[in-house]
Amino acid sequence: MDRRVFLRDTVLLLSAAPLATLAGCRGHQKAHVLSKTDEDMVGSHTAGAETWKPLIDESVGKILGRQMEIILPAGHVEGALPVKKRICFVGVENKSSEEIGDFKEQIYQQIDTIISQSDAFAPISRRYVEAGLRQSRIRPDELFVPANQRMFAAAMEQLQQPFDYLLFATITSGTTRSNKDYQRDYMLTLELVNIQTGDFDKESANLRKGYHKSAVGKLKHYGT
Amino acid sequence: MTLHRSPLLTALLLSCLCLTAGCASHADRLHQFRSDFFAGNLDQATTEIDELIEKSKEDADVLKLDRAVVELVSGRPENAERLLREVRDRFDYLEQTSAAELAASMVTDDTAIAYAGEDHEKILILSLLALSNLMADGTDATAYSLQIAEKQRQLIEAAGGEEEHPELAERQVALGPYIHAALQEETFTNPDDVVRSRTMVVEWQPDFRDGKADLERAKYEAHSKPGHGVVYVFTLVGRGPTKEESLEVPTQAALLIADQIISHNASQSLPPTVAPIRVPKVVTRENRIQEVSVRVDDAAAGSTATIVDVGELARVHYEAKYPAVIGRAVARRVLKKSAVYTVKEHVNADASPVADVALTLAGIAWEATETPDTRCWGLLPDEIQVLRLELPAGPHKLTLQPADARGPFGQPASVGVNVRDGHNTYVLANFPDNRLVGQILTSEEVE
Repeated sequence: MDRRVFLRDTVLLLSAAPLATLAGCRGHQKAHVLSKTDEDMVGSHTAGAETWKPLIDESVGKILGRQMEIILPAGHVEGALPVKKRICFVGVENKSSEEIGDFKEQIYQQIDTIISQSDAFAPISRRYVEAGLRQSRIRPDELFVPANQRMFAAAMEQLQQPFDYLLFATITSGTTRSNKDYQRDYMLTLELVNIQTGDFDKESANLRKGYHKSAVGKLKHYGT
Repeated sequence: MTLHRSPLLTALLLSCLCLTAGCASHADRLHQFRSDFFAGNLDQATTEIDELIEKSKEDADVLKLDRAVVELVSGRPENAERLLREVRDRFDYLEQTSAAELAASMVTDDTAIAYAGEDHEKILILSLLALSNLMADGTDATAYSLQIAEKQRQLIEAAGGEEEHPELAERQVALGPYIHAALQEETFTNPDDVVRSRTMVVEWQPDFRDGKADLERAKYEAHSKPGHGVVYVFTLVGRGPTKEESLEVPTQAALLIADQIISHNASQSLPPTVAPIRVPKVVTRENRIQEVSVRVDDAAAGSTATIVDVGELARVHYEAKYPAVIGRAVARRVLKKSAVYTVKEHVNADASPVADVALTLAGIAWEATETPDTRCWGLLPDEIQVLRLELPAGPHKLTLQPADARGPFGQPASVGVNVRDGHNTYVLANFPDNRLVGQILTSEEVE
């Protein structure tokens, strides 16, 4: 090849390279409303709606179902509604390795909503729960100390919001790593404590998620 | 083909002549309203910024950031929030690459690319959004505080991840988790969130004086004692970083040698890289204010501590992007030289000394027209500081005064705040120099 031609072509190629690598256009972000049959997006790095929604439905459903059986008195007349037990849902504690960000409040509200729709329980408004904790200056994790529990119950009585049960929700996770891929097991645990007797009931729901850097990773670990 | 018969050549020469006409850089435009702002002439600064927004539409976004700061310190946090939100959304859109703008920037300079904000500015927009919202109704402060952490994660990923840029992961803005912790602490129901956020503050800003004590308190104590509330005093102190023009001499020298090698071996000579390669550089300023001393009801109560070192943040983020700035400058020069080379080939300039000299001069002039992109948020503080005070419920007088190693100096400024039992009250003041500029904002005024 002629040296001149070679140099010219090289210079032109060099000059075109930066432009070629930088090609792209700006587009305005768009959105659409999901219908009830649309599947949730699956979070690529952390848990999202695809994880929390089924965990909430399962754990709350289990604990409410069992409590319905427990609290129905022996002489209960078929068809008659039992007196609703008042639940003080203290909060959701995140003990997992992930930040759940704005999902935390949503998890609380979803659990609270399902409980409020139950025939056996009536939740106390969160605003009263916050006011009671503020008034007694007790942290939720200190409520298992009997004196603190009595103080909190007294504060709630003062607010005209007596309750029968304390409800705690806890999120935990367990991570299994294989090089750059990992599996994370999520668990939502609900603990219902009877403040009169100290008895407690507990239910959990699990969901496992695999995180992969590539489709090969998914194939390697799960064969799909 | 001779010079007078080549319309292409004539057009190139004419365009070069037009381009060589000088333009005021953003750094020049910034100077006047920045001076007025720091002197406390907020109305004058507002007028000047508004005029600049009218005149230079392409700089409107970044100028609105300066306008937002003026609004905030003038006691109009709702206006500041609206402007900041608008620019945040614009920058999110402009983060995407535009091939047309990049192509234009290759034949002109980086100012042809719509300004999408430096990384530190994007983080600080969210930080000031959180502060503005706290001073207004506080309803969106939690969302903004979470967005600060999320945005930083996105920016680190975009820069190549923590492995490529560990310095970005190590020096994250801790204001987001700090505000999140303060808000969660006030609810009394999320102590785990408070501990988690306070831990992030300690990890991201290990030099923050109160970080460890805050974390210990979050582990074992409630928000405040009965009958008490908490006051968070935020201060914007010092004059923040700006971008100024700088010469990239080593790259220019390397390109000049490369020009000579190619010119020696090729049939046509390349325009030598005599025009300096001008690039923007982050410039920080000395800040005398080490802290702001706070007196409550005329008794010493403490002093603020730095939670965001804006100057350092700007420097670290800019250094991470600097190779790309140099890369674009080199690519631009290569492209321009290639264009001149192609025209020389087209007109057989090696056979016409006049055309050769004219094209070489035109090439040099073309390269000399490049203006460094000095667009930046000019009214940022040098540091954001904070002090947490637990005070008895009721009205109090807070007096703030800048201080250095020798103690308080400058003019003190006071404000009345109302502390509610078991609740937070937020205070924000701006001390670019030895006195307050604007007014002290509070979320709970004394009635």
